[in-house]
Amino acid sequence: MTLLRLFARDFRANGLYLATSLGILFVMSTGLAYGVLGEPPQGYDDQWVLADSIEMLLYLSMIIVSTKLASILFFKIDEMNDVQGTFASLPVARNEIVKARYMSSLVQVLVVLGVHLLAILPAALIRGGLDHIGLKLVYHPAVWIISFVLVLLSNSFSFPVYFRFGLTRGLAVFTVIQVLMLVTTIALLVNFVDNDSFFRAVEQLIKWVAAQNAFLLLSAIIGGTLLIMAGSATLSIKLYNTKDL
Amino acid sequence: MNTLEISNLCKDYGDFRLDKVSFDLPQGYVMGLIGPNGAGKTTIIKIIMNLVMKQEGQVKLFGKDHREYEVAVKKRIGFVYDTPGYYQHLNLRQLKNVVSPFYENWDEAVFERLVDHFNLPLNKTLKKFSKGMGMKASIALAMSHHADFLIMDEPTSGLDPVIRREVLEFFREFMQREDRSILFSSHITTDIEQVADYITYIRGGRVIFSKTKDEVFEEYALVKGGNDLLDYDTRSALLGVRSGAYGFEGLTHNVNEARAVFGDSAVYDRATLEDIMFFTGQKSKTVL
Repeated sequence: MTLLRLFARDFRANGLYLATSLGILFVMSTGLAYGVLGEPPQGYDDQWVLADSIEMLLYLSMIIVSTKLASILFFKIDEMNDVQGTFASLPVARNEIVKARYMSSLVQVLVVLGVHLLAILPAALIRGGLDHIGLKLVYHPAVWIISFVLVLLSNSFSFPVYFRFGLTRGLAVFTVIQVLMLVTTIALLVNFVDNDSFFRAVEQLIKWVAAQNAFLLLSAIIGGTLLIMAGSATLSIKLYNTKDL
Repeated sequence: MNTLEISNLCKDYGDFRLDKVSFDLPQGYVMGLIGPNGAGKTTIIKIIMNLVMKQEGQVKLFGKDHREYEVAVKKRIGFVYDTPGYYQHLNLRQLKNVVSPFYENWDEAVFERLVDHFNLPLNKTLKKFSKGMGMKASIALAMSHHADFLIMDEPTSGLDPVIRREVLEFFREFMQREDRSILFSSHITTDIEQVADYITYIRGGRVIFSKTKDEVFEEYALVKGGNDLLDYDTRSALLGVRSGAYGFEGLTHNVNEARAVFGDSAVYDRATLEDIMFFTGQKSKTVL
């Protein structure tokens, strides 16, 4: 019950912030969708023409970034108002505080993706109607599953850092960690650049994955992501339980 | 039975160390935690509330370990921060709606009575509250679930004399029920002299004493006299001394011993907590 109360606290205390940010997001997202849909393509009936466009990449990036930002909104508001100590002094266990924050962030991710999905409709109507060929791509499940999975993975890696250091310091620490990971990845790729067998193996792996049953693949991806998230929550609990507030 | 038992509490911050702090607060009494800024009062209170992790020692609330039974013991505690962190965009009614679900014993009637008593506006956002209103709102929130133990960190600091007096009056009302206890820290020693039964004096992370108020005022006294009474030997009978053109004033923690040293040539007055803090602090400066 305490877990649900903490979960409800995030939404009850910050309802106005949430509604305002979702309203702004809806307007921005409609604008982005309007841009990415463009005029109905002349002479093309291939929906994938949009897949190569820079607008589509930009749109996908904006969905991911805005969803990520919305999912850390509660951290930001808590930090701005310095309420961590206040709520930890209530009759609640710290592990419940952590679990509730993971839950509310997950719900935030789903709500924000929902807002993005809805925001496409007015853009399509302005662009000529709901039979706009570009809708087949922007409403393609892969776009939304990729966004959902990437945001959850990002949160899974960053939340333990936020719980340990707070959001502002945590963002700085997480940026450093990301840069180190990027440098390491580039260094590894450079080492493998002349290794044909490595790239052949990667190519085979992609082909093998693509050949799998879509439903099983989807289940495996989402299941794996949720498992990583559960591991992240366990680590966050350990870190938060020893933190001085 | 003790409401609070602290034994050998240690916390090391590198530049500051809480060093084997021990004291007990019996049920039904008020304890004032005094000490200069940076003495460790807030750290002790935060450790009790499990907001700061202790490194060694034990804290028991109502006879139970404060971490093992954290949720159960916190249900019986009303906690007031010196600078309470609340959502500033909410008004008091909205904040109450956020906080109250965490307490099974939340009493709406008590909350409304306290809000009325403190003359607090329910529909004004908290960011527009003055320091005094914020403190009174914290007390109202901390008290509306029939807490048995009130823990407050500097509840009267920054408040004007009228509100301070109201808050202290409220402590007395709260203590009408004899199974309740209060622990509050302050460096406004007159507040503690007015309401505390026990006094724990912390300095540099160590407990200098933890005694009943009567014991403290019986043991400590101010010695006043002419400068001709002061020499190396007589100075050592005092915990701290301040001398000027017209004579000296010093603190002793053994009036009989001081009388034996200074005789009837000196005057012996009751020492206030401020005198005790001033002269004991001065003594350590002299030593350094």
